[in-house]
Amino acid sequence: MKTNAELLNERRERIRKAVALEKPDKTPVVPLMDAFCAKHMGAPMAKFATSLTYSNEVMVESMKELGDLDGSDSAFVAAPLFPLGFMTRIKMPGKELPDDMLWQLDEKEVMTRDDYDTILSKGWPAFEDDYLRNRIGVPLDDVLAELANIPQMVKKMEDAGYVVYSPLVINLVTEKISGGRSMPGFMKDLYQCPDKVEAVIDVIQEGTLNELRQAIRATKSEYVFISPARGASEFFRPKLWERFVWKYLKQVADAILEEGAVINFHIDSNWERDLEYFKSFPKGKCVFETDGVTDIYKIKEALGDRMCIKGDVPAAMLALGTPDQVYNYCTKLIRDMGPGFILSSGCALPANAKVENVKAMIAAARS
Amino acid sequence: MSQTLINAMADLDESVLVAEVNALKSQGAPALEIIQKLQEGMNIVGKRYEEKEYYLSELIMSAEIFKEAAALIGGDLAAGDAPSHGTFVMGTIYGDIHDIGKNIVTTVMSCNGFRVIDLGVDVSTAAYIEAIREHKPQVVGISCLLTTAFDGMKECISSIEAAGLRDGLKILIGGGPCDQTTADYVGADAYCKTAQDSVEYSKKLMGVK
Repeated sequence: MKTNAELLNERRERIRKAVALEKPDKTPVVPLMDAFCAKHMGAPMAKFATSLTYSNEVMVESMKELGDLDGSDSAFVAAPLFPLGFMTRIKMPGKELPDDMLWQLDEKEVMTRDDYDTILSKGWPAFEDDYLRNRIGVPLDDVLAELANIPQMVKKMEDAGYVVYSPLVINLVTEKISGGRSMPGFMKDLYQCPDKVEAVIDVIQEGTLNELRQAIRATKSEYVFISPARGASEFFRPKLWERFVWKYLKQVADAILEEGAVINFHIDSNWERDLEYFKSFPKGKCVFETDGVTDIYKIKEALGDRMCIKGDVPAAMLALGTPDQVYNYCTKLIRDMGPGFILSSGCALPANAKVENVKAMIAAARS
Repeated sequence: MSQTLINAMADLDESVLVAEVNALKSQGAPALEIIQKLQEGMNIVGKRYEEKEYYLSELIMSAEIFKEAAALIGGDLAAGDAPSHGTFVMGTIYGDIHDIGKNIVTTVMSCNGFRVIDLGVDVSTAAYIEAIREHKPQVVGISCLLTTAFDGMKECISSIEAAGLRDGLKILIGGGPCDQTTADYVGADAYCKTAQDSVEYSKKLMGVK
C-alpha cells in the first residue's frame, strides 16, 4: 500500500513524462474539477461556489471517493475569480440564482468606449480596482484574503496524494477587454477604433507580463494555466486574430516559458485554422487542452510531435452516456493519442456528470 | 437602385453605406427597396461567412451596420417587411444565460434571408410556446452552454408537443456541450454543431437553394 506522499510523487512524475512527450507508466487523468465535486458530495452549491476554502475541502473528498485519478487542474472553485478574469458580473447560486444552480457569467457591456480613454490617461491598475469594486461589485478584499490561503489548499490536496496541476492562472488581456466590453462591443471596437483598442491592450499587457513573471517566481509554479477562450480562431478574421489575439497570447506564452514553467493552453471553441501557430513553441514545454470543439485528432496531427494534448471526454457523454460508452471513448483516445496525452474532461467536468461515468474514465486509463 | 449600397453592406464599409442610404433617402427611394438592397448585401455577408472569408467579428459588424442603416430610414427590422425564406424562433433555454452562440446563429440565419425572432436568454417554456403561436415559425432553435440545462430543453420540447404545436415545426438544438446524444435525449429534430448547420438544415427544409 503506497502512502499519499508516494502516490503524489508517482502522479507528478506521470504528468511530467506526458508533458515532456516521454512514455509514462499509465496515462495521467487530470480533469478540470469543480461543480461536479459539489454534486458528487452533496455539498450546497451556494456555499461551494462562494468559498474557495470550502470548495477545496469538498473537492478533496470527491477525489478520494473517485480513487485513482492523478490530480485536478485547480485546488478550488474558480467562480469567485471569474469577474477578475473577464471583467464582467457573475450570477451566483444563493444570491442571484436559486441555491442549487450553477454560477454563470452575466455578460453585459459594462465597460464603455470612454473607459478606453480613462485607462490610457490613468493607467490600468487604478481603473481596474475601481471597475471591479464599484462597477461590477466584486468583494475584492474578501477575494484577495481567500487567495492568500491557496498554499494551504494546495497542501490539503497534495496531502491526499493528488497533484494540483496548474495552481497559477494568468488572466489574458483580450479576455478582460472582450468580457468587459462584451463580445459584440469588443468586435465592433476592432472595426471602429482599432488603434485605440491596441493602445489600451498594450498598456494592460505590460502590467500583465510583469505580474506573471513575479507570480511564477513567488509561487515557483511549474505549470501555468492560461485560457484564451474568447480569442478562438472561429471568431476572428486572420488579420484581426493575429493583431489582437495571437500577438498578445504569444507574448504571455513566451514570458511563461522564459520563466521556466510549462504552459497549459486551456483552449475552448474552435482553433483549427490556426493550430500551425503553436508550432513556434519549444517541444515538450506546452500542453494543448481542448474542450473537444477543436478536433483532438487534428491537434494530434498538427502538434502531436511538439506538445502534450489534454482532453476531451465530451460533457454530454459524461452527463447522459453510459459507463461503457465513456470507457470505450477513453480507451480509444488513449490508444490514438499516444504517450504525450493527459486524459481529461472537455473543459470542466459537468456538474451533472454521472459518478459512474467519471469512474469509467479513470478506469480506462488504469486498465 | 444602388449597387454601391449592396457592396457597402457586403464589404462592411460603414461610411459609404451611411452616405448611400442618406443619398437614396433624399432622392425619395422607398424604404422597403433600400432594405431589400441591404438584405442583398447581408446575403453576401452570409455567403462569405459560409466560405470562411468572414467570421463572427464580421457578422457582428454586419448586424451593427444593418441596424444603423435601418434606423436612418426608420425601418423596423424585426417586423421584417422584406421577403424571407421563413421564420426562425431562437433562444437560450431557461436556467442558462449564455448568449454568444445564440447570437451567432441568429445573425447567420438573418444573413441568409430568414426572419429571425430572438427570444433572448433564460427563455421559459411559456415564452417559446407564445412565440410559436404568434410567429408561426417553421424552425425553432434552442441553445445552451450548460449540461444542467439539458432537462430544461427536454421539458420545453415535450411541452411544445403537448401544446399541439409540433406538427410542421422542426426543433434544432445547439451549444457547446450538445451532440447527437443530447438531441436524442431532449427530443429535438436535429443537432447543429455550427451556426451554418442551422442555415443548411433550414434551407433544405424550405427548399431554398
